[in-house]
Amino acid sequence: MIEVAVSTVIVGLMIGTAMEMVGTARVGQMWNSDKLRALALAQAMMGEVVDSYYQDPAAAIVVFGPEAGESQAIRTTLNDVDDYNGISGAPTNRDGTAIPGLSNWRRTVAVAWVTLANPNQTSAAETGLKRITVDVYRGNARLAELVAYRASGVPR
Amino acid sequence: MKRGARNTAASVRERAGTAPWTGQRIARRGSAYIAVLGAAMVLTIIGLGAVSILRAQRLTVLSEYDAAACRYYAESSVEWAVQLIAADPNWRANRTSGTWYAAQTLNDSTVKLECIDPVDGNLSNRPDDPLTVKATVTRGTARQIVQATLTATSTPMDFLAMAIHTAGYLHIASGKSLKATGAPASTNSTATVDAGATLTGDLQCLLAVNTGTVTGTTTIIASPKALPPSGIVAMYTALGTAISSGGNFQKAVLTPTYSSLGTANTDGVYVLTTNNDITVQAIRLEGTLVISCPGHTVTVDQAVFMHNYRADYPVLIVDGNLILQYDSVGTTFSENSWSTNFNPAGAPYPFPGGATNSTQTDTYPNEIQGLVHCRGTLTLQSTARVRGAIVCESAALSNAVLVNGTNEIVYDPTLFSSPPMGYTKSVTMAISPGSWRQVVTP
Repeated sequence: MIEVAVSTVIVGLMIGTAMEMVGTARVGQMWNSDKLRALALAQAMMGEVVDSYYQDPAAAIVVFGPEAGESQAIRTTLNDVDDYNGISGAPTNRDGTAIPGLSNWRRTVAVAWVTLANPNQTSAAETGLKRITVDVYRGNARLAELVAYRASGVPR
Repeated sequence: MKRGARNTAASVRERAGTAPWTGQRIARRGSAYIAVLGAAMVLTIIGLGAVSILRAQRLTVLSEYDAAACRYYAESSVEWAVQLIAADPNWRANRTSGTWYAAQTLNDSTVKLECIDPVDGNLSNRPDDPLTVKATVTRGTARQIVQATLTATSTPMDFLAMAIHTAGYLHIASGKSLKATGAPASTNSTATVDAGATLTGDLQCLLAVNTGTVTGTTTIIASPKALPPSGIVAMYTALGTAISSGGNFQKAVLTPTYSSLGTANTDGVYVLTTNNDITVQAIRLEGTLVISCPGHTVTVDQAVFMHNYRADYPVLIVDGNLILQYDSVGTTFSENSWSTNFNPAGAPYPFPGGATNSTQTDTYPNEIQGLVHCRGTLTLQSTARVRGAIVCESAALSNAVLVNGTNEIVYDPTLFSSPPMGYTKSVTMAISPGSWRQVVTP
């Protein structure tokens, strides 16, 4: 009788621990999956940005940000790096269509001039070097951040 | 089956407390613990295995994340290097071949940026040497190395589109002629073709005073053409091997693999310095000859064969006055005439894939092939012929260039399309297409 009782306790503990492990594993798998998805979303956006011109080659008036006729909501209209500055919202395809299942996700892009002597330091004036930062969040948790630089001396 | 019917031999033995193989009694007390603990152990091992797998997966994800971030930093670092170069016109003098940044922090990554001249490890000696940029980025446990090669794109100086150009007075003397084939003769000043003289070809000048014949078009230029930069003689002098003539310079063979005057220069650049007037004759040159004799005169006489070895180098630079009076038409440059073998072992003709021998029976074209650069005045006499182009820096208002023979310049357009080093308005460094690569270290 005692054996049965003690064994029952042991089995109970085992089941409790096993359930906790299953829970932890599930959370871990979710984290891994989210992290990879965030990385893919960040890479997709960064790929678009770094493939763009350093500066708008065609606009009559060049500004830092989208030029006339360009829209961050439809990124096929963007053609230079700083056009992407300030993008923030649920991840979308380049043509503006939503990517299903990512309603709680957010992707942001920040572009800034940086000094040549220290690329960590932003500059208010044109330096020939732009830093691009892409962040991906799920809820309020930042899951991925990629940083790249584009130089005016490297044509696309 | 009914419960009471399970009266097999085994159950009987079990109830009797005996085992068939030992005949001893088995203790039943505690067997449940053993079973439970055994199961717990198995489950624990499975659980620990699952946790380890999960941990490994997490590390894999993190390392993939770090690798992706590193790759962007590495490619960015190459772009950064390109911009550092583009922003500094004197970058070759201000920086050295090697590590430019040993451990530059970029956000949460560390960058090592190496920029190396793959030709000779010296950035400052040649403006057109390529540059290998290698960025090594570490972040966490990830490391990415990206490399690209920058090559020089030169914008040629305008005078390289001319058969002959001078800053000063261009004068074709009476009864003499200059044939400029393929490009105009040019001056930043006045051109005069005397009565009875002929310029066969086009002419570009600030002012034309022609009483003779110009067969082509005369164009009055709006602005002067820039002349070679002042440091160009020093640059080629630094690249060259000093030679000594011990008087007139004659009966010598100079190539990148052979020098009858001592050690060969691998680029075929030889430098002769003198404080006297000097005559150059019976010279076979496959390379570049720099003659430094400011205020004195170099006379290239009778017969020579000079050809630039490197396409991006000139053939002859004279820091002094120059007279070209070898006889391209009437005199063959023959070994027999000079009792000299001009194609010994190490100096094949044509160079470098031709023949060598020990005889004195060969002949060579009696001409200069390539860009001739003269810092003083220039006189063309006899039938001296140049295949390439001539630039004469003299701004003299009297005979900066005097044509006093029957001379010919056959223009080589590759001098403009691929200008010699230093004879350029600007040199930009750009990433060579196809040179990007990820470096894998052992």
